[in-house]
Amino acid sequence: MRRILLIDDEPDIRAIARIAIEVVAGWEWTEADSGLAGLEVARATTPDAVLIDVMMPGMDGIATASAFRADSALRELPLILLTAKSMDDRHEWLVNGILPKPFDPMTLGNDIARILGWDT
Amino acid sequence: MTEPLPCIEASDIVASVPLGIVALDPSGSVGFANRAACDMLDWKLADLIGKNFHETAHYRRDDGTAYPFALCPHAAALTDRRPRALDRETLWRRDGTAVICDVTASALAGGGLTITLRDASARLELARAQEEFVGMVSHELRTPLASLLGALTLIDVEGMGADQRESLIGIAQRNAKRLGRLVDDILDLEKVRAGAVSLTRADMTARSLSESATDAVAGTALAHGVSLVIDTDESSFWADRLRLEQVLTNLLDNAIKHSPKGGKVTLRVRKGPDSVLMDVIDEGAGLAPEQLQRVFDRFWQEDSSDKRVRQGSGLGLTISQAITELHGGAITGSSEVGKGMCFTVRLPVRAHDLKVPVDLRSDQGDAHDATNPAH
Repeated sequence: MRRILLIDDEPDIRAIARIAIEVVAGWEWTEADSGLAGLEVARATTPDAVLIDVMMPGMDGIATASAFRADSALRELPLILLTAKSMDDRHEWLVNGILPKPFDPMTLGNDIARILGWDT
Repeated sequence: MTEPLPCIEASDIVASVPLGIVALDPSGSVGFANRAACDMLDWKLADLIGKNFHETAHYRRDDGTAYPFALCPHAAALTDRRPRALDRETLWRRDGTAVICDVTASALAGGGLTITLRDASARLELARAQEEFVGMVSHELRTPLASLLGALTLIDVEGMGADQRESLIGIAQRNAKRLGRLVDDILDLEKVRAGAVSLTRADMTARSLSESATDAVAGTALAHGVSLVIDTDESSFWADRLRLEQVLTNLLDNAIKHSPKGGKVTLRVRKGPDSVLMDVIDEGAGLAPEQLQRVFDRFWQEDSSDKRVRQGSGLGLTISQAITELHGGAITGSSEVGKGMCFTVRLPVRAHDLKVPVDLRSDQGDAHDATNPAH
């Protein structure tokens, strides 16, 4: 059983991704609405992968991913950036992979597994 | 052939055009420059004359590397006497700052070249702003579209609870409405800005305008636990009622969404000697000066985790400003952090718009009556 953490400020996107992960992929789900809250949830729930939206007010996805990498307890966590902009490719070095937004909820689990090399 | 008018000198024409003109002798040295060229390059004519133009204003490329005269198309034009046109060429002012120009070079009858310089920075700025706008529009449209499509994609997935399915339907409906609002607002704003909207002015009282504007947001106020207060005089004026209601509704809606629960939003309308002032005042958190500067920008929304605030299109204030300007008026905002916001719409009242209440008219011998046979 995999556990996914999504950090995104849009509640509707979180609700859709939750169903995509819980119902379609059959995995466990945790979520946070900001980068700061996401770091807390990650410490408490030790997810197998963290999806981070790039466009967030205040602490954006890049800053959030950097904070994960700077934290000794969290730096090993696989991170995937969600972005609608192709120019965010230049942040590829910081994370394990990039998923284009909007994601397809029917294949979200498979896409995460493919990026992280998980057996499905 | 018509003779030129004797009072017009060719040199006066050259001096007056808003296009930089520089004449070069066959060696490439400046023999003349008009005022626009001197202003653009920040040189005095006396200092520029005799200098090699390329070595003075064209000596580096846009990336800052050296640009030898021999490689410049103008050097070639001096020899082959064929015209050249360089778009968005970087020239250098006397103080070393860059100015982007569209440049042409054409052969002068006695040898040498005439160079024209047209400042391209306004055009480039416009192109940049349009690009930024398209980027913002696509982000603003894609966000609800992604939710809408995501919800519809999942809606008949097996193994979902009834409550989950219901929440997906809610997401689809909410985001379809948000998309609709955005599209309406974007089109409305573009129409107003393009001047494709004509105002249908009519006589109205401040009170009835205030009442219909507050009626339109009464539901929102109730939902947010905010009370609405009307404080208006008994004046009447001449304006486009529906458009003005739209302005006030946008401002009131904005004020309500920035108010704390139990807060108060006041709409105050007062007519002065030459203008009508409409204030929308809230008791919210207010804005810092640097945020206040941006409130009328398209799609600007303050960073806020408060989802009530981010439900709008981010265009309401921009549209309100455009409509007010169409009336010849202006909107200003004032605020102090922690003390709420006050937006003021100031509409000019022209002399013939002034409507004096009936009971005062006989005392004042209203001179405007003659222009207004309806009364």
